[in-house]
Amino acid sequence: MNKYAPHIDHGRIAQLLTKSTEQLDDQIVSSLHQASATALQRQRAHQHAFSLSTIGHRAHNLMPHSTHQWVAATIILAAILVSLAGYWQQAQDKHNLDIDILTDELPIELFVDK
Amino acid sequence: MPASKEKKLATQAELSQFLSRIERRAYKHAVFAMHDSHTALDVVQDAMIKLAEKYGDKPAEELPLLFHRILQNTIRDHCRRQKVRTSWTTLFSAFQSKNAEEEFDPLDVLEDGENQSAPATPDAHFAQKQTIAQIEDALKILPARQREAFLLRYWEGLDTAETAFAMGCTEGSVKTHCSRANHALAEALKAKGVDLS
Repeated sequence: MNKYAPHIDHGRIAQLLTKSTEQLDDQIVSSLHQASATALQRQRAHQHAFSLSTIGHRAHNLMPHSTHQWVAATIILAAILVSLAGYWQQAQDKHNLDIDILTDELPIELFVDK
Repeated sequence: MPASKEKKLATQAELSQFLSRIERRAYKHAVFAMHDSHTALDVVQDAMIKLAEKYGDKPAEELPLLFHRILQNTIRDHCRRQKVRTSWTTLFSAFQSKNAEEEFDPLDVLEDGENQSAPATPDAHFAQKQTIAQIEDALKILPARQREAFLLRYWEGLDTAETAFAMGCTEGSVKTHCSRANHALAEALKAKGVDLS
């Protein structure tokens, strides 16, 4: 290779290349506009998908992940169910007693002082 | 790359402006590398979509450098895929008749391009067009890395560090590629009788 390369004017080459971009066919220019529009549309769609996935991600964070968390969640759920069942049973007993009082069908044991 | 924490993130309008500003130059970069208009359009669209989807919310000042890096990577991916496709075609064509061996060669297209620009007229506009065609032809026959370095450095006006980032190589490599590209380009243009000194 020749050590002493002839000098070229980079500025002039850059200027001519920039000029060449102004001489593109209309069809190519419209295809490029279309490509830009598609890219922008895809960005909007991507942002939307990202925000939906963020909601999903937060909901996922609330779910238990480890065994300990699952056991604790099960105990809490069982305690809630037992409390609800007890409350429902007590309400049912009171309801039965009220009916008995109203119909004068109370058993004799209820009047005995224990 | 400079830290982006303190910079304002690009808005949709800024991204749109950036894409419309860069689209023609990006197409030219792709055409020089791919030698085919349709493939170049595909490459530019791919690069734009990647930028918009993955880096569309980056600060506006960072977009040019990111885009050039994406564009160069996309060009390289397409070239690799084209090479694999060509090798498979060559493999299958070995089982076909001898006439089928005449396949597409980018150099044939380049020779045709030279012939088209042969008739010279005194018209200044036509002369300029011819000079542009000759520069483009000289750029197309440069090795890919030399062409990338030359265009990013002298056409896009990136400094050595930015060019190195866009090309994914060291600054030393950029300097070497630029020097070789300068030499090859000057020789090619001199041979064509184009004086740009």
